[in-house]
Amino acid sequence: MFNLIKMDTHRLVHSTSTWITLLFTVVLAVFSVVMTNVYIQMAKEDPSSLAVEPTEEIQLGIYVDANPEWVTGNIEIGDIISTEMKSGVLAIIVVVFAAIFSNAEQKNGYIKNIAGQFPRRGNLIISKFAAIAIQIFWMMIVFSLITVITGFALWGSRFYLGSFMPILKFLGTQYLLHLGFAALIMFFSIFTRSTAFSMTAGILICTGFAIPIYSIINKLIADIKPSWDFNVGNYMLDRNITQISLAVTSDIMVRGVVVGIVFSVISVLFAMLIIKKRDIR
Amino acid sequence: MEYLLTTNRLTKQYGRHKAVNAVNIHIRQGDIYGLIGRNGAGKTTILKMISGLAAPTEGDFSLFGKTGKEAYEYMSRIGTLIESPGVYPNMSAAENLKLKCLAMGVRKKDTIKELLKTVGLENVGKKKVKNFSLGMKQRLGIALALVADPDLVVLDEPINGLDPQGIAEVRETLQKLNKEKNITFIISSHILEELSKMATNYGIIHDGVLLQEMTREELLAKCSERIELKTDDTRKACTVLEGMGINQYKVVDASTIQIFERLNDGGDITMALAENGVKTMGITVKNEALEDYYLNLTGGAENV
Repeated sequence: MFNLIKMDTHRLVHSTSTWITLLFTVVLAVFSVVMTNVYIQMAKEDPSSLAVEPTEEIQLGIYVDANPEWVTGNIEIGDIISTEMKSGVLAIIVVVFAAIFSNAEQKNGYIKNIAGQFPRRGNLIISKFAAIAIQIFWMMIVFSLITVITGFALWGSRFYLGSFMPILKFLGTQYLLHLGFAALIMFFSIFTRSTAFSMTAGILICTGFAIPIYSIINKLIADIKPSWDFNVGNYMLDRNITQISLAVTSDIMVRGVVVGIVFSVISVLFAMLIIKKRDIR
Repeated sequence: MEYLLTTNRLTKQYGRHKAVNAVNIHIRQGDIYGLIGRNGAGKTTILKMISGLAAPTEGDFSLFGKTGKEAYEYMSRIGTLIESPGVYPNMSAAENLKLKCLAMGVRKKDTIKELLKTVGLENVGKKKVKNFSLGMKQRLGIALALVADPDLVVLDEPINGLDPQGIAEVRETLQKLNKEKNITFIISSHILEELSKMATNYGIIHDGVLLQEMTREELLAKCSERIELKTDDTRKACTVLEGMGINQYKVVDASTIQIFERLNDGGDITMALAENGVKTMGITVKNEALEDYYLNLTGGAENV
């Protein structure tokens, strides 16, 4: 087991996809902060552009919010990191990486060299998950650092740290949610043996294409039990990633942690079951 | 432990089709076991089950004298190259080997260098595997199978894509490993003549069924040069042959005798038979190639 983790960690370091996704993490972090700055500049010139009508509609696609205070006042580091991360851009890169990394062994057949020699074949999944967890950790660190550096470059002394603990809590929760998402994509890859399918499915979920499905489920539940105020989206990874910010209550934060852990555990267990029961091609 | 590996009615069924049907293979430590069969005969499926990559539908196998779950504990002693070599194309040969070494817990220095040397890839440097020829990939696949000094190496069509020199080199390598490290090999191939140059034992498989298992000596005897004599009275003919001092013969059927010695004495044999009132219906010197033997056994050329 420990040997397999060492193997997958070594593969992680020597895979082109690892470095390409890290590079894209840098590019997207810079791009996101620059776009937020463009938004702030536009609001400076036309303050009405920041006036948001209260709406219950959920937007599809990748978008960033901006705080009206950012136009003239100071900008807290945690707020910017939270805004950029919950936009879902990092989740998309996580999806791309998880799909490529978890399916590589099946795609090129390397799994045939090792799977037979490990009677506890489920360990192959745990080691892959461990390597993915390491990469997501670094992706989050890089994304946050680049966001901070770009923010300093753009806003200088207006960009300040504020309190550190809420940032850590937020990053921890988002880490678990992103990890859960990666585990789900790994399960898709193992199950379908297709990088294209798992990547496309993941990107569509990130961009909100599952929301209509959640609405249908909510409507069905409301029809069955009208008194129950249930929203399935609250228990899904994508909705939690976009909902959880620095400002949310601890209840919502805890819910995010639980959702991330539950998705990780269930996805890993199902992927282990599949790789154990299915013949290696 | 008489056998290193035996299979007990090993069966693999896909839907209604039995790809492998109740196969009983027997392999001793130190054998080079050649699994012969045409494409689709079930060779790869058998090897996949033995390698732990596919689960049998019925039957089981015993490894190092252990069966069931106990046998699976010994799977780490098996190295495999099944179908095309599974390699990371964007990594070098050494990096591919490093991954397997890490997985298997091999920490010995120079292991990778030695393995590359063993398969003749010591000079590839940092060249990425995606730029390798098919033969080079095949050699890397063999090197991967040899990581962690396995006792049993399962090679599925290992000489596919190799040029004649490459084939000879791989053959020499496998024979050397067999001799020096006492590694047991199971090698599947449809290139029968090549397999016959290294295998010590054979299993002939056709349509998922193991038709015959035999040693190299048995096969050579079957394929060796002989006189095929057709007479009207085999019993009397045998007495005449023994009277001539010919003892290496075999009665094949009611009218056919195969004689394995004094191959140039066809005329004397005919004369002796005639003197004793035995009619010679036909006498020919035959030399059946391994391929002919295989074709006869599996039902002829239309099956290939």
